[in-house]
Amino acid sequence: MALDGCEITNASVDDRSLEVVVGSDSRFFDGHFPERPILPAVAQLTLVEVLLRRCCGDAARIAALERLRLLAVVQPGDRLLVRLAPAPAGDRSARFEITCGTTRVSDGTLRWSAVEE
Amino acid sequence: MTAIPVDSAGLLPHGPAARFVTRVIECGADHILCEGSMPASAAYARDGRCATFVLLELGAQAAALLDRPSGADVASRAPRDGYLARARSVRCSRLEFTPGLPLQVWARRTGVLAPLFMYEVVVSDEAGVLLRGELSVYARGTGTCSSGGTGWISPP
Repeated sequence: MALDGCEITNASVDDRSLEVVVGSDSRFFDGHFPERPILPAVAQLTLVEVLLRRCCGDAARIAALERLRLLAVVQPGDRLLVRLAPAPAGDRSARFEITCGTTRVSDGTLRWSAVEE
Repeated sequence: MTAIPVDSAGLLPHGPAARFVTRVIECGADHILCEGSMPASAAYARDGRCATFVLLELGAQAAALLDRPSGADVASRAPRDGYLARARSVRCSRLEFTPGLPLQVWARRTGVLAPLFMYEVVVSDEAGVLLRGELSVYARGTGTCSSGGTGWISPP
């Protein structure tokens, strides 16, 4: 899965983590907002889904968000660490968080389903 | 109420590439119904498909249109300065949808705890509901679109 203008600098299925640099040329910033670009919440969720697919299978998709908190803005060039904590097998839910350095950017709990391939 | 094109009215702070709500169909005291679409060229679209959770952004944009700063007339009203802050109980009826097709987004204000505004949102396409859920927006300088969309009042 391509991540427009984002460079994955480190990924670990074992650690269930993904390190991403969100480039200033990423189209996720286009129009959001013209005078102060910040990464949309749904772009952050797109990063979470990339990690979900690596950890739970390529067909895995976010089907529900039980809870989502946006705690800080992400600006062009920020280096993010995405972490996923899936529930035990059989329960298709997972907690996630995104941090930028020591700052927690967002977190939440999702449920996932497998898309038909 | 005559539908208001969002592009021409400059009702949102988003640039064209991120402005997914295109028209306001109906605006009441506590709810709004809009048309929109996710362009096939959007960064979120891939191989003609798009993740349904992305439609949270449409819900947030409709909410932003419902509660905007007061002003003497439409042209003078600055778009609301606000950010999606929370979401919960979000359900995607389908995991993906086809971008480029018409969508409808409905938002109803369910509470205000300034500067947080809470909403229930539903996004549908012609086949039915795609996403529903609750979201909160952190906003500054907000007012309320009154019934019929002909005037604006300040929040209590």
